[in-house]
Amino acid sequence: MCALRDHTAIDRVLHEPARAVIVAILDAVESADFLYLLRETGLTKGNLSAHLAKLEAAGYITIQKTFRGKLPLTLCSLTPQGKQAFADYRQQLAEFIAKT
Amino acid sequence: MDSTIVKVQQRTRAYWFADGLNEILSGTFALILGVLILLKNHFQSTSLGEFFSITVNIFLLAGALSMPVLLRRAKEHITYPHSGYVAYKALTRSERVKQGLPVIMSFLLFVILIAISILVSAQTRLWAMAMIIWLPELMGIVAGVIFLRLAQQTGLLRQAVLSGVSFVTVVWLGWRSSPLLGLLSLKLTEGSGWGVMPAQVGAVMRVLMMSLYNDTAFLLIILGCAALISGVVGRLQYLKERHNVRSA
Repeated sequence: MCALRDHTAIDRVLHEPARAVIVAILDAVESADFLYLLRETGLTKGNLSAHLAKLEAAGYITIQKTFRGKLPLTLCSLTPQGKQAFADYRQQLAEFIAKT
Repeated sequence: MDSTIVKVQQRTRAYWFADGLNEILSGTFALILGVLILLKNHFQSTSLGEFFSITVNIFLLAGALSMPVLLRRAKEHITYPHSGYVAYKALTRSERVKQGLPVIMSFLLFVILIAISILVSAQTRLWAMAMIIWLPELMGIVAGVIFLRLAQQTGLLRQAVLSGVSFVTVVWLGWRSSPLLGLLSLKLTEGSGWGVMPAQVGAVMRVLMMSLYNDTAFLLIILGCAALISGVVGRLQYLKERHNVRSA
């Protein structure tokens, strides 16, 4: 029962496969562009945009829109808050699995 | 879930190598450098030998300076527009020192050890002379360890194969140059470590230096070819994957 209660405290923003994968990618690098995330996650453009917007609203990522030459470039990077939240999420998940 | 996260992060770290451009460029550079060193050694003490000697130095300097720029440009034009851009974390000053310190300390220790060996006795001087033959093997081991670490970090089989090729080449080069140890004798290394080099020692040193250059050239040619093949295989896999994603 206690383990189940712990599980309810898990970060809902990150406890979604697509968002967890996006944050996992951004945790391994300094920044990644929209095209890379699109290819790696296999999501549609609209879906990915929605997930990125949710992560940005939670303060976990920053989205920077720039240009590389004449081509638009959307760079996403993890904030310190997002990094901490992801580390906590992984720890919570590992503890929950160990308990059950 | 956690293993999926680990795999995703490993794949992201491997992205820098996924397009095969690194191996194609560095393999071509190593291959050309190896051939130039071999030609320099072959035409030694002729005007052609001098020409190749200068060419080797210029090529080495130009390659070392232009390779990172060339690679970045190639990725910007070929890879990033098609499969996305990833910026990797730059190491902080303390992280760089932490990683570089063991290498610098090992190198200094090695130099000090050689210097002491030359000064102490004829026996240890012999050991220092013998070290010349094993320098290419040492380079091969360093390359093998680097490829092995990359294979662990990125999970790419290609890097593990390159590490294997490095170690096999080291064994072959060691087997090839070990008979040269027979040229070294205690008599050869008698006397002061800093004195004028007797003719016999000079002749032996020339043979050892020839072997050093040849072995370095073979190491570069073999590793260059292996990296080039590995790069082409990687490139084909990358293009196939890109095509599959596009058609899906």
